[in-house]
Amino acid sequence: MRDPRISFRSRGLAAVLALLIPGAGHFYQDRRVKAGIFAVCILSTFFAGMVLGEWQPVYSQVVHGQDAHRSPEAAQLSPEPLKTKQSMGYYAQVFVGLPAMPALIQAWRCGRDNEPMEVPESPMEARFRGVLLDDRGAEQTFVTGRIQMSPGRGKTVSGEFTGKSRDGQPLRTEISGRTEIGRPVFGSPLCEIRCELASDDKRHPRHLAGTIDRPFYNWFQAPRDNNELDRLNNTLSQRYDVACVFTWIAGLLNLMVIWDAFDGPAYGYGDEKPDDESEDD
Amino acid sequence: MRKSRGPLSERLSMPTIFYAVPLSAAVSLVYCATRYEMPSRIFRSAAVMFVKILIGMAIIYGILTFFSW
Repeated sequence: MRDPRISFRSRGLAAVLALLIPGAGHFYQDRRVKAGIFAVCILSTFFAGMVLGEWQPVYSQVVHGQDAHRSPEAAQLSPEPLKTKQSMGYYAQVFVGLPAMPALIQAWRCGRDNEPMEVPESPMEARFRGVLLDDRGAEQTFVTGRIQMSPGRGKTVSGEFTGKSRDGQPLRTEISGRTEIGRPVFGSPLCEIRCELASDDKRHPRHLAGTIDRPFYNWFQAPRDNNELDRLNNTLSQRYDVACVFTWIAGLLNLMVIWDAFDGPAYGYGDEKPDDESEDD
Repeated sequence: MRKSRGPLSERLSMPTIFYAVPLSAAVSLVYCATRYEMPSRIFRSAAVMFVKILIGMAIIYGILTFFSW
């Protein structure tokens, strides 16, 4: 039975508010102390997880079966439609409410008009990390620098790469010909790119293959493939697992909060006589 | 020249086991706040629960460490 001292106002609305923002339902019911506890504890747990996982523990879908064993960049550069399955962890994370909602929007964006590009939509300049490949596709050297390119005739681009090789040698080379740029929306801050370099021998051109930065709004909470998850586990190690656990627990805790906003505290007000107290803790 | 400090997540890096401490505190507080309405009762039972969780985890940690010696 609900305690008459607690003001529930509209219980359904309070539950919905609690689902959207942890603590908002209790704030609406004027249960300020509990609202503060829920908002601080759940949101700080969720965002601590996000920071630990470099803002990447939350995603609603995993891309699979995209020639994942053929090449590491297959899912980003493959023209085939993405095959996705639900991320099990998201079933817990979604209960945090609005902070986990971008994943649903990104899944929708990822599934429509999101093909790999052959030509950039407008002139672009980006940081590049990758390898220089010879005419047989064998790696020559690791290079870092900046890439500039603009749409050329038909499906070609023109531009240049300036940077240096692994041994510190400055490198400047002209980009001309066919280019492949990864899907605009994808759950990785690194966008795969492969571009042909200008060469006298048109039949055996050299290539640059690597990654450029993808804008935050195009990778945040977006669906990703196992290659990206492998990269995260490789770079963040156990920290990524801890980050995921934080976000899952934050979502699951909010389930109890939603119920508390709807139906009140499970054991009563808390000022019952000791004889009536249950051994809960 | 200003030294690069790396991402925030790297600066917060610590042994994984210690992440359990703030997490346990948050879980205890939220759990107890969904059991009671009175703030003093919430904080008192959350503190007890927090200590019990830490002791429980320390015991499990000790047992696992013993068997992996």
